[in-house]
Amino acid sequence: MLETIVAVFFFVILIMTLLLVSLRYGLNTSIKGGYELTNYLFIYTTAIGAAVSVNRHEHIKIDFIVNATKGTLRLALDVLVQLLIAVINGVIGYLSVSWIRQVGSFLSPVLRMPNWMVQVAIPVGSVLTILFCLSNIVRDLSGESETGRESRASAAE
Amino acid sequence: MLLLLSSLTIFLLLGVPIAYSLGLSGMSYFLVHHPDLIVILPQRVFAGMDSEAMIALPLFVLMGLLMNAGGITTRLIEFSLLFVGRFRGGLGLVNVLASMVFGGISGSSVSDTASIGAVLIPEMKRKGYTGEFASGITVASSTMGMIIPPSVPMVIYALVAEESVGKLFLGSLIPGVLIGVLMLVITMVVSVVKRYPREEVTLTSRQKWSVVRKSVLALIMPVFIIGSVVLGIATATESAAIGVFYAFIIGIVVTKGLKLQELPGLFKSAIMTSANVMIIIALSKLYIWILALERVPLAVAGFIGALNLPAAAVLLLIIVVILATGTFVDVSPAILLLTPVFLPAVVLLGVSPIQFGVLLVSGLAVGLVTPPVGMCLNVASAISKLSIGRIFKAALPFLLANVLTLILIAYVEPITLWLPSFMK
Repeated sequence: MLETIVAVFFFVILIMTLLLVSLRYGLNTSIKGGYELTNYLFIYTTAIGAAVSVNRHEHIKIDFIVNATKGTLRLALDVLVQLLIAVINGVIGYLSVSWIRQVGSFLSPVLRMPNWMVQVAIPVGSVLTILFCLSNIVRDLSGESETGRESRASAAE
Repeated sequence: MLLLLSSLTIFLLLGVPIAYSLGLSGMSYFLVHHPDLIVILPQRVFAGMDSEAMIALPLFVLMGLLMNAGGITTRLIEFSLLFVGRFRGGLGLVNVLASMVFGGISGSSVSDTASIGAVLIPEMKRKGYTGEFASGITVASSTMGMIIPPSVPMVIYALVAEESVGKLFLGSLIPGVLIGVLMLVITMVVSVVKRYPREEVTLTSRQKWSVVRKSVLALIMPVFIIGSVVLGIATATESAAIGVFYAFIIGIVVTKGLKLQELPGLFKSAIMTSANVMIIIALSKLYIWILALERVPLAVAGFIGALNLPAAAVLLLIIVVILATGTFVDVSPAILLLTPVFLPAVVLLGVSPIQFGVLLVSGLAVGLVTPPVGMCLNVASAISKLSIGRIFKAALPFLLANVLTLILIAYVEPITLWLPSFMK
């Protein structure tokens, strides 16, 4: 669902960019706030897309050391990593609330929309990431994930 | 400074994603040294995401995916076969030439290995080449994918270094082509020694024309993209969007390999790939900000200056650092980590940011082919069922081309700066 939303935003960004170039060269005109809108949509795609990547374990990382571990140690490392991701997102999300309260009412240069409408992408992304981290931890500990299953199997041996 | 670097290393080695390792390390720094400044965390992350130029990233990725899904790989292999197939080791030469052209179209080394390797590794083995040779040449030649423009890593470097994408594209053109030419020579020599076969191209003139016509339409794309950026007709983002549209038309109308039902998947793939890099860029901005606050770039420049080494020796040292980093860290995060630390220092030494960018990306490309994290090695290993160690060993002779070119980039400035000098 979230992935589809991100892909739709990306599609709109592509169409808007093509439209803006065509209008500039074809009719020597533009869409008011077009660039601003594409930029704002892109911020949302990054914030939400990064959260989805946590769910899918697709983030870029250096994992050759972790991959060398097995069983309970591997499970403990996986849970620790998810907790650390949740912590940094918790801090960013929490601090973003007071930041948005301070500057969110300023208006954007062209569209004249309040800045909070785009800044809120930060706490939204953080909350989604934390939820996915917790879901990953539950899956790990309940043996639903591959790591969780391997850990249980090695413990049984 | 010590806390910043040591905590980053620990988080990275624990397997925390690079983006969040940067964030956690930054947070640790604030908590210990400047608790009053921690409030700027969300603001810095937001500033890192807020860049119109970065939209080029998913668009370039999508362009490559569309071209690939449209069946361009087969056309490029047929096209290359027409020119170099008749020489000894014909399929090896085809592999290198197709990668050179593919690099210009996809801008990605990993998709180069996946696409060309999937077709040519089994075919080469069937024709009597060893699996090691077929896989080694595939991974080594795919390093050109991210050097020959348009190049996704070059766009990332341009964003961090705040340099012109057009100049970087032009600056990387000669080194990219040079690597290809040197690899063709190495392939010829190895093929003569190992007596690899020639390919018989039995096509009529009409069939040959058909192959050329379909390939040329794809070959025009990189020329158009680079041209539009260099001539200032369009921004990198706009030219990438036009490239996406062009790739879509080619895939549907010319090669007819692209299916409309594939589009949602390709869009998702492109934007998710981009989001993974974008979140690193966003959090690296926080890191760069702290580095500047701590005057780390100046300290590095001071340290290098205190070594009293000639610029040539410093560049050699930097090449070693780039190659070592590329061995353990993926290309995009390595660009984001190394650029803010080394760029100010090398600029003080009189090295152009364009030259450094090409050196950095070309050096990191080698990391795609070295264990333990070589992405291209993993892909080739999945195709050929050979261990990454055996493929790496087979790729070594071809990587001589990369190393030689790296040295030329470092010490012969015109290789990277001559073409960009034509840009205003």
